[in-house]
Amino acid sequence: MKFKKEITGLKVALMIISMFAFLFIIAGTTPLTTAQTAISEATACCERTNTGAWCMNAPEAECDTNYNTAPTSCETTSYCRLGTCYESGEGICMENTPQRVCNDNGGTWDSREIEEVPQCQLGCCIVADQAAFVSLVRCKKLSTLFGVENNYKTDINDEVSCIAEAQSQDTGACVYEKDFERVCEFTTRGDCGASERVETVNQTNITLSSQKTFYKDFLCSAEELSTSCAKQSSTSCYQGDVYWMDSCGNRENVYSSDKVKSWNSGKVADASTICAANDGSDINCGNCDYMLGSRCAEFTGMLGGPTSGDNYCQKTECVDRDGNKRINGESWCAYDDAVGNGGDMVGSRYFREICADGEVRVEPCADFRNEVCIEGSIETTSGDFVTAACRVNRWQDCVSQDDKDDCENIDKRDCMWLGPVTGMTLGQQQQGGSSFSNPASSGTMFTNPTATGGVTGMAVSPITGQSIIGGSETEAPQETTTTNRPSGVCVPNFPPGLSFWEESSAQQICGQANAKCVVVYEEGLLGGKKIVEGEECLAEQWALASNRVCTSLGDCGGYTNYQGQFADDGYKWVEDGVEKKFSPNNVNIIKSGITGRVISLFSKLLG
Amino acid sequence: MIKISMKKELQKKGQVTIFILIAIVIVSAVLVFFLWTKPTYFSEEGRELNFEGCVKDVVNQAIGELEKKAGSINPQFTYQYNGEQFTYLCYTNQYYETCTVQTPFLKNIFNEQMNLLVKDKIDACYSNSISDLKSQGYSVTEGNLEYDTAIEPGIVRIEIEAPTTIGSQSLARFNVEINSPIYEMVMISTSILQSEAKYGDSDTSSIMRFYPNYIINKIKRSDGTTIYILENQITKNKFQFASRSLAWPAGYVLQ
Repeated sequence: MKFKKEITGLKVALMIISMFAFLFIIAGTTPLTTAQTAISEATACCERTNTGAWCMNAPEAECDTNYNTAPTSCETTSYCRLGTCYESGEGICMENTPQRVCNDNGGTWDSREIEEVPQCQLGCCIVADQAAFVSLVRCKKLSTLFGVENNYKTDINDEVSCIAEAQSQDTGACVYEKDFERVCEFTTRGDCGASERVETVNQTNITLSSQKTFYKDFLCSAEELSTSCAKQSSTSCYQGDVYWMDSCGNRENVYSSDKVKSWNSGKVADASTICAANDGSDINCGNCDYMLGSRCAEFTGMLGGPTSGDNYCQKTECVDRDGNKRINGESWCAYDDAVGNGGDMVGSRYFREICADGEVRVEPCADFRNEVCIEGSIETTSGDFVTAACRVNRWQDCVSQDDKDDCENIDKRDCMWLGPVTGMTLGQQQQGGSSFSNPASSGTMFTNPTATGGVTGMAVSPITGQSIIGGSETEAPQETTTTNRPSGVCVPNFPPGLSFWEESSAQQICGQANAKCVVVYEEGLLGGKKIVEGEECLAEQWALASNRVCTSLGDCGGYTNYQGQFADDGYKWVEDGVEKKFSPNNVNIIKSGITGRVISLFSKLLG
Repeated sequence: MIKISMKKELQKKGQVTIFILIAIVIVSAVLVFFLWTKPTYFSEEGRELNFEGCVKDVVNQAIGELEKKAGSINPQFTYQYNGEQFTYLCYTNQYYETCTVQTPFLKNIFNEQMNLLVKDKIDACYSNSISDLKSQGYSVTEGNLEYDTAIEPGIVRIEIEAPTTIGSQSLARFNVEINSPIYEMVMISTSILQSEAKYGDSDTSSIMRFYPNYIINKIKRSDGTTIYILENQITKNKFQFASRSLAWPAGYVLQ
């Protein structure tokens, strides 16, 4: 029996090749449940905290004793219940406002959602030719501030339709008599307050009346109207375009140095019929186009100005960090390094850049890659107009996906599918006590690069695992290579950043993955031995593939930071009890940021 | 010869008399001007006495001070960034939650705080003007000063009730108007605040498109705080504040 055991021991030379072990702690939990955890830490609802914040769930010691404190959540208190606050002066509604704060600021508090509060119902407010999607009281306030009548429409339910409504209004000359003079205002029919009757112009039959008469599509300088307004006396900016103005200060048609064409015999003309959309290259055309990067501005130079007036379509451009020209209003994404495909480097972040008045302004997306930047473009006559935005990185439930289709469902999450890695287990709390060390319990396993003066964001991941091989035959367990991801691994497409230099969830997140491979040898009858199982695990590419999974989980594994520095203390690779490191060649592969492609290739081969 | 010299002497005396008479007329005219005309001048051109000018300076200074603190003279709850304190207008200390509004109506608080901030200084402007007049020898009766500020599109209006009597001239009210974009800035900030409270973020690009004279700098900090700096490109006024809404932790929140 004993002899048989020895034979078996010889045949089965159990070897633990490596451990890319990152213990899983968050088994069975979803990240979003942690919000409740944060709340549960708060022991009281402070009406005001010592720092001056209103209505916070916080430890009781942080509450200002001059205000109310209750050992419960703020949502259940009377003074800190959140609701909608309404102010009748300006007609403004504000949600998520505590009752006390609302009342102290002269508002009226309502426990209902903003959509259910009658005073906060939105409608289309048309004031002259402008539109605003606001409450009725706000509409009246705007009307008062600008001294014009309003037209409030409750049947229009969205902002786009509201703007369209304003743009579709009839415009024309509003003529009336004032102080024995025939006065004209270029406005909308509604603002004119004239009758709905369509007026026809008959020059031989113009009567003076104090009653207003609206002449649709006529300019105030139209000769037929016999007003005192002379045509094209100056120019002015209006809604981003340059317009001719008559001597009475009324807007006419879009500016063009071809005065006859622009005046259009005293009738309203569409801007595109006067001159083509101007990208800023034509100083004598006022049809500025925001999407082409031009908008109306005052000409301040000495030479080369417009033929008439002081306004022109100013072209504003910026140059992005890659040297590309960007037009005014364009926004685009900027990165610290390679992005996506699980390859975001440690400490990197997404940025949105905007060209605003010739200057590139940088808007960082949320730190720790909790937001990523997305961009799209609109085709214009002079090329694409790019717009970008920061949006939430949905990485949280990637690891729990074991189906490729679910993993790659971009409607639900931002994950990617990697090929299978021999012996890889994901999302399982490693059992067996002494077999694996939990780096989370060993603070020394983590280094804080900032504390040591190193480069911020250096990758340091939890290090787990131990060599299993060795010991007597009787003690040697019958180890096998197992995996719970036989078809592949789902990992974040944009790995989240982790605050690994302090006590945080970094240990938990990095500890989700563990790879263990058993190599089986068969001893020949005449001596020697040959590998019958697990040969692939002896190749460095297996370790690279494992590392690839680790680096995709977040700031884990052996990886490079955004400044190009590689750190190899973020993994532990043990083969037959001996700790190994990546070869310089493979370190260069990892540093060059092409880990993803290389490893995915190896994974396919190995898988 | 004697006759001739006497005649010359008489002519000289006549000239002196005429000069004296002219001098009296001039002095009288000056006195009448200063005693009667000058108070009227005060009422019409108060600026010359530097009362309106003083008020304008005070209000401009107050606007400049308040817009950096989001409308509060002494904001308690702030975020420090680049050596400056940014007042939190909306805040949550939790992750994954939208913020709780701390100051719902910016315009009201700005108006209220501006009234407080300028009170003593406008009183000082008035007192100084009265003192100036008194030192110039006018008989001045001063009354209780009352005023109100109103923020409107493009202007800040100060209505001052100052029942004052200077000589026989009575003055009651001054209206001082100051060109300022503060109304628009406060309303744009309110709009950002509404968006932060509802969605946890705001789209500054669309705001900048609708308000081409404004630049909005939006800076997201690692702790989830967002700093907003709204700048009027023409006047260079800056309105700035902070918000912490829908913040995300690094990784997960530890259980």
